[in-house]
Amino acid sequence: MVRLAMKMLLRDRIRFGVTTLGVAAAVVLILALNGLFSGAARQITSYIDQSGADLFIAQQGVYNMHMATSVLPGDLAPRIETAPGVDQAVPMAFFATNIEVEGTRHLVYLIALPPEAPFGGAWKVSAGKGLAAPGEVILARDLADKHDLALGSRILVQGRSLRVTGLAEELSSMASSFAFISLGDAQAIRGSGPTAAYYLVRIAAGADPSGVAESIRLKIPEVNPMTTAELSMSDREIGLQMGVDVLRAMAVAGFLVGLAVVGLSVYTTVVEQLRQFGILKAVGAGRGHLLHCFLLQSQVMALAGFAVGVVLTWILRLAVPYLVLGMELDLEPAYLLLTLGEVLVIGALAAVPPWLRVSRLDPMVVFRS
Amino acid sequence: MEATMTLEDVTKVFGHGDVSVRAVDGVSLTVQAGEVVLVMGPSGSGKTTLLALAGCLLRPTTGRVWFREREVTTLGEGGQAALRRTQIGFIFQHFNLLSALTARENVELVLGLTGRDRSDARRTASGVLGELGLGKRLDFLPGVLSGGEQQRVAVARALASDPAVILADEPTANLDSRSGRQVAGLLADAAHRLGKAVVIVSHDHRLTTIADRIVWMEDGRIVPEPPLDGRIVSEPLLT
Ligand SMILES: Nc1ncnc2c1ncn2[C@@H]1O[C@H](COP(=O)(O)OP(=O)(O)OP(=O)(O)O)[C@@H](O)[C@H]1O
Ligand SMILES: [Mg+2]
Repeated sequence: MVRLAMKMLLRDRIRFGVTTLGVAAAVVLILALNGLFSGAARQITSYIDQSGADLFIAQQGVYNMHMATSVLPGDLAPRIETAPGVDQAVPMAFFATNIEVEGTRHLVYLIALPPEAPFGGAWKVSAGKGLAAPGEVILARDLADKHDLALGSRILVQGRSLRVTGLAEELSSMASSFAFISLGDAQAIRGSGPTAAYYLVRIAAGADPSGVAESIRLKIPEVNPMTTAELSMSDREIGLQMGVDVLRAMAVAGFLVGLAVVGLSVYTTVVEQLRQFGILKAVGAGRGHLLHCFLLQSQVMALAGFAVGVVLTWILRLAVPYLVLGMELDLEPAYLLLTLGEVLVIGALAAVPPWLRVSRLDPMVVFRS
Repeated sequence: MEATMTLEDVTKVFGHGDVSVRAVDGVSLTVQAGEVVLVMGPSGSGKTTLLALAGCLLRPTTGRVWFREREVTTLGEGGQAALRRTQIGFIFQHFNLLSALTARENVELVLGLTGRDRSDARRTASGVLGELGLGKRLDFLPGVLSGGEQQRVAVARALASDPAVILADEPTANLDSRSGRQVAGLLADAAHRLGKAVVIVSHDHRLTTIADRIVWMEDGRIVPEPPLDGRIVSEPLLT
């Protein structure tokens, strides 16, 4: 039965190829979209993950860096440093703004640190410095390249002219990028006086991050200390949430497209060879045998489509950073499995219509010419 | 001798009311193991319908069909399919081989349906085809085989799972006379050497030589003698 099913399926190789591509397209749609959101979510947390801080301290009730506003006094560092297990605390301001380059606006998340901060600056500097002094800005290198900015160029940040003194990698994402300025400039731009948004904390060697966070919370009740992992997780969720509905809609759309493509293909394959199935029924093939045959056909089509789709997504993943500035595409194993599950369900469902059709078929066709 | 296949007052009506056709009308027939029963009669007399009723491909409107001591008319669809694949071998006028499969694969497939493992099925299929003189045609697709070869593959397929009953509808109608004689010989052999109950429906007069019994049909009924106008006897042997 396996051989018969495969030979019937491959009788029309063009149809098999087109079906495979159809399913592959649906798979690429599902995987790539998820991959892009996941890539974007990873980029959102890249600063948190690379800052070198063990803890982040926010205002009480604030659990995120994105989509949240945290305001803390600018002089908390000494108090934080008295908490057991704390090595160093660095104030940091963080806000989104537009910078103007050659008349076009770019969304930038500004990270403002004291010029002497021992950590927290750009982590992959390709030119100049990783930390800004007053009047300076560190930009994403690909953003600078795109606009022919180099060390020494000047850009406008909310009306304030800053000189580019550093360029760094891994700062841009699909729709925005990170840039570094000095804490003093940030306070002046915002008119916020001596405040900070967060404190970055390094803990003593061997100390336990959650334990130190707890000791800070006890000492300074009006703050919310979080481990870097906690904050990262919480920001990543925000990034993903923005895409969840779109992803769900696309997963459903991809599912329906895949089902239609495989279902129609298997059905027409079967209907074109109806007499062959009449013969099978006459010589004693039961409903189970027939279902087995159709399941084999539709699963092979669906899985071939899945395999091709995964390969295409993989190629796309390698190409995407070159196609769109700052865009990245992740292939998550868990989502791959989920999509595989979806494809297997497609394969199972697509076998049903031909099965019902052939179940109704009168085996008496074998007596006619 | 043992009654292998029994039809008991079987009637088949197609359609309803004015357009209904009584294709088989109150037929009773018993076929013994080891005998060849030849069913003859004019076109439209109900021969194929009778064969389909015996082979569980049709359900009678009234009456009962037995395989040995078991009534098969009460079996469900699955039970009837199981009976067809284990106890009944079919041979058709139009060969009805699966066109995507080679000669050997066609035979293997029916063995596979009965649950035989692959290597066993392959060996059996090659053996049966070899006995029928097709040892050199095992890997040929039906499309490149002659009519006679295709029908011999069909005979092999019918015999492979060692069924108790062989039902053949016009098995020689599409064959040249030499192939026709060959197939007739195989059917006689199936009954007389292998002990199968063989029912052949045909217009082909040559088959009377292998028949142990001839049953004449007219208008859905079994009649004691050839229809008086002698149509059957005067018909050309080959079409
Ligand atoms: N599915 C069906 N629906 C309606 N009428 C049918 C059907 N099958 C057969 N008949 C009718 O039943 C009668 C017997 O048909 P059957 O095919 O059994 O005859 P036959 O003896 O095999 O004829 P032939 O020698 O031409 O093959 C015919 O009148 C035929 O038209
Ligand atoms: Mg007929």
